[in-house]
Amino acid sequence: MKKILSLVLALAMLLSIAAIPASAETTEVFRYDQPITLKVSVFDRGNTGGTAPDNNHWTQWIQENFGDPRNIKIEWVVIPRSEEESKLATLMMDEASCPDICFTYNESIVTDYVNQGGVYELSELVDKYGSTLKSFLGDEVLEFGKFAGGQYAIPARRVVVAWMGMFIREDWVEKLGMEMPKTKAEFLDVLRAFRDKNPGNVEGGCIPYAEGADLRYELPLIWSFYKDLSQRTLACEPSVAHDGYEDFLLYMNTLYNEGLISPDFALDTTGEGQWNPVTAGTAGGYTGDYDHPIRVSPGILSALRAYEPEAKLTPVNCFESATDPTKYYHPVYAAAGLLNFVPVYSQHPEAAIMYLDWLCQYDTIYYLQNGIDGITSDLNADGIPVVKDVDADHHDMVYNSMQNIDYTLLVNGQWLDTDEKTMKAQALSYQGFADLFEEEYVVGNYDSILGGFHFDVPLPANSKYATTLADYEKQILVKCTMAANAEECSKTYKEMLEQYMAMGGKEVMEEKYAAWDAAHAE
Amino acid sequence: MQKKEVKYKRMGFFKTIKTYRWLYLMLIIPLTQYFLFRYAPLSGLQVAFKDFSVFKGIAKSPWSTPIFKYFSEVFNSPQFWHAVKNTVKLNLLDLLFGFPMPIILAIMLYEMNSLKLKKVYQTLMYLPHFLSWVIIGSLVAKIFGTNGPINNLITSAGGKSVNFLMDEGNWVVMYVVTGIWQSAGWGTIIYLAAISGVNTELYEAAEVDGCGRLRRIWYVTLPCIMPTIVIMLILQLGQMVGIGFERPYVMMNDMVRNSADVISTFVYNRGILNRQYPFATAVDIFGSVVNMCFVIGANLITRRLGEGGLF
Amino acid sequence: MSSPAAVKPGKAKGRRYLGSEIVFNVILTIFVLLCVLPVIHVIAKSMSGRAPVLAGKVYLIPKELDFNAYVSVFNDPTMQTSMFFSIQWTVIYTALAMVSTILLAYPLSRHYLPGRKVLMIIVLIPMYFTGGTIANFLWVKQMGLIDSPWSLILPIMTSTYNTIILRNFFESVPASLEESAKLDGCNDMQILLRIILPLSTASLATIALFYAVARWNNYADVRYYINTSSKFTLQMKLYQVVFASSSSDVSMVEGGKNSVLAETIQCAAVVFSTVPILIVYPFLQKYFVQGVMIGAVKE
Repeated sequence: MKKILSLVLALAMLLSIAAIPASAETTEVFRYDQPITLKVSVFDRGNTGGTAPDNNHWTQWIQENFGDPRNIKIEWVVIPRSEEESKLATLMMDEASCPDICFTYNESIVTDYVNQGGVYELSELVDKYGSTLKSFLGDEVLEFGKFAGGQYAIPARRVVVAWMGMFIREDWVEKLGMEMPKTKAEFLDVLRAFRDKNPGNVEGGCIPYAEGADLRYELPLIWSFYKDLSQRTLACEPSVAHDGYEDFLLYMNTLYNEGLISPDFALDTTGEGQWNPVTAGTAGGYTGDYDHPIRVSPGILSALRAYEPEAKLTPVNCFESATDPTKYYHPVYAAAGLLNFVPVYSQHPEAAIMYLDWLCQYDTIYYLQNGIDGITSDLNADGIPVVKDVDADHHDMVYNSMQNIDYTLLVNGQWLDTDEKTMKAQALSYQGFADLFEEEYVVGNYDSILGGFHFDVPLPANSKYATTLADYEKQILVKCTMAANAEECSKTYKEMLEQYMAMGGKEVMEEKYAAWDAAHAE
Repeated sequence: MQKKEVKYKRMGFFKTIKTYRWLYLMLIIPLTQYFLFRYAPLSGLQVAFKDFSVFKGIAKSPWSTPIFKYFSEVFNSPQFWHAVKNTVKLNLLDLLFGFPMPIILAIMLYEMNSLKLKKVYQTLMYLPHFLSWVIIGSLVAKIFGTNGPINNLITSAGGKSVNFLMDEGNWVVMYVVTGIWQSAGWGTIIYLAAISGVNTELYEAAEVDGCGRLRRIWYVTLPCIMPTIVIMLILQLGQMVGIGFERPYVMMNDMVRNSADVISTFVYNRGILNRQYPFATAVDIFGSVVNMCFVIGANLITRRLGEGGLF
Repeated sequence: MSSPAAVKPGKAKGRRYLGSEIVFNVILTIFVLLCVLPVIHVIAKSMSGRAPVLAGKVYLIPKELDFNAYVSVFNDPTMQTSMFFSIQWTVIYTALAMVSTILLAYPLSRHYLPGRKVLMIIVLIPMYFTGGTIANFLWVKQMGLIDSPWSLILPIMTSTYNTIILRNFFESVPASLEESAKLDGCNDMQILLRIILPLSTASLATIALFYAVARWNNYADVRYYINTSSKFTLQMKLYQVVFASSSSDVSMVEGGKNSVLAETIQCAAVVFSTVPILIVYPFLQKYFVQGVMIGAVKE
């Protein structure tokens, strides 16, 4: 009897140790004497059927596990995803409502505020409270948050740096008895075949390749026309001024005039007009992030397959470079993603760093990305969690954004503690499309060239003109693509390029060259 | 409605307040709102004269040197003048085509014989006014798109599809037409009210004199509602250099920026998105001043013509 | 002022002016149809099945009746929150705006009030001279109203335009009524409440609707002043759904993807957000025409 009892006791002890929740803090946490408030920004993607981004299971969990132990009350400031920049600007005007943690993908906005002295310099605080943060991100990533030598932003770490992909319906290609294209010319042929032979049997004809109004991101295609791929040129010269850009415009012009892209692409300012025909099966292809079709949100491939189970959206890798026809360059992101910063209005910048540090802890990331086993994810045979849809009872645990990225501010991509597991988890996070992930990943990283550049010094002209110039660039793209013929296209391009350079483009370019040369002068 | 001849009794200040105390009392709430939220914010216009930084606030931001630095930046900006040109052009078109529509519709409605039908028509005509521009913008894009219902009808009838929204000329037409669509029905309310106030004896007299329907409208109805028309005209003229933001914004696309970029969208781009606050405020000030000139000018002219005015 | 319609020469002076009758009716009918058809189109699309909408075959009649889009919209808790928030604050706004407008319009309508001219100018100037977005934002922030629903009420509580309309209506009430009331010993407030207002229901109803519609449809101020998603008005939500969302996938509630088309959802959202106003206004319609008088009518 006694023996059994002691065994049971021992077992009970073992079990109780194992039952300690993974998120238990084993080190001491700094607890405030008086409760303080920490305002954190959160994107609102406006998804119908989602949860309120500032009030759901995840926000509650964060409050319980980060806020309560430290006597911090977290308040969420909602930023509509499409208004990201204008909302940030208005928030920065009001010290009372400005969040303690703001973020943006746009480096020139951060530099603008740094120049005005509106952002906290964080190196000391990071040294003191951000040890996990430092080891998680590493110097390379942190470098992207440095301006004028100071650590003003904490960038997110990208798990995957592949950037854009261009996808077409491989099943249509197969139906036509053709092969996936291997050159630009073949790409045109495939699209023409889509147009003429309508392999999808779309009533009224299909859209061979769906486009939205923002043509700046056809990156594998655009970069294949560039003649100078040195880092210096790519970083400093505006893309519209690159040697070879005109050829890209002429190519798009051909696509448009031959009826190979959406006729109303210019009207589609949100990108939705591009996705809708693809989801509906009326378009033969489109451009998106390297993994876009298999992303859980917006779920393009899964929605398409609900009606056409045999549909395949495969990335093409056929845009041979003008510099070397054996190379198919794909620009990739820099290792750093979202830039998080702390405005000077913040009363408790150290709490902000503590929060960002906490967000780098394994357990935090694990929970936010994978949730509770059985409900939001299932552990597979390898011990890797596979994310899945929640049932109606757990609606408040819905992921408003893929991989819960809206809350995991410092990691962009599914992450586990080893690289191998990370890649597996990333693949599995696509809920059934893990095999496709590998293919897209390979293509997205094929012959990669770094496409993201960081300038460490303030660039006042860039801050001033960047948005207007970006707007104008979009106009150039649209107008040239829709030109009546090749001569018109070239003519319009030359005129608008001149205008672009005159309205600040030249100033920005010279500023960047100066900064680059200064930084690289040995 | 006759205006009384007002006879002022000369009274002392305090006696005046006492006599009309209830009326002055009533004014407290609305006037407070006016001062607090219409006049007080004007202090923010200083931003146009300062090197404003959000982190220093208005008070601590230094005055710009020279003081009119941002104004000269505005006036030297070709995009600004372009936006002004577009604004005035679109507003003039609205005036020319949009202004008469509610008047015409109101007159026609009034002349309708069937009361029941009149009521039904009125109810239906007000419908577009209740739709926000967000809705209308997306409606227009879908209905007039290259593969939308309208173009489908055109092509099935054998025609060529029309590029309604991406051709600059057509876009301007669409802009004016949707404006009319949204507001003409609702605008009839004002004019119908005025027309129903016309003394019907005048109509009878005109008929006796041998006027047909159209002459009657021209010689009796219109002159009688002229004061209303004039006031509405002045109100609209006062918006010549102002322009709503939503209507051009939701209908805009990159092909027509040249014609569609108006002052309000220009200010939004530079001021909000590009965070050039003093610049944007300078543009706003310019717009307000010009509008005031228009209103005062229009009012003076109409007074001279004896048609009464806004004030 | 140009002639609205070309004068048709020599029309028969019969008992019925048949020519103009026909022309007028035709023009009116066309206009009314133009007003109504697009709305019907949206309603039809919102209730149609996937295939017909995709093929662009839905015109005025729903094809393959399918209410999934509405299910999505109704099930979305954020839509519900927005609806209630919008209704609540529109009502509050309208009530306050009416009070303020009445209290302003009545004294302005009394021609004997000393200082009336000055008052008129004070009231008119802000219609043309505004601070602009930035100055207004800075001021609202100064007043501590950012993220408060009051930022959607107080700054726009009195509309000069509506005040003028109401003022004109008050002016048209026969002076004899006021005079006899004064003889009976009533003060101005009592006159306003007991005599003028009851006679003004038409105008009051119209202006109330003007205010309600303006508040319901306006989302520009919500964009700048509101930071909490539970305080987004319906039009702001709609703006997100129509212009800004990745709503290609929907219904994250049920296990699978419901594959409701984004377009259908948008149409359903449009109907959803316009229905409240559409329900209200036909009841008030009978007041409109009587209620609005601008400018004196020349004898």
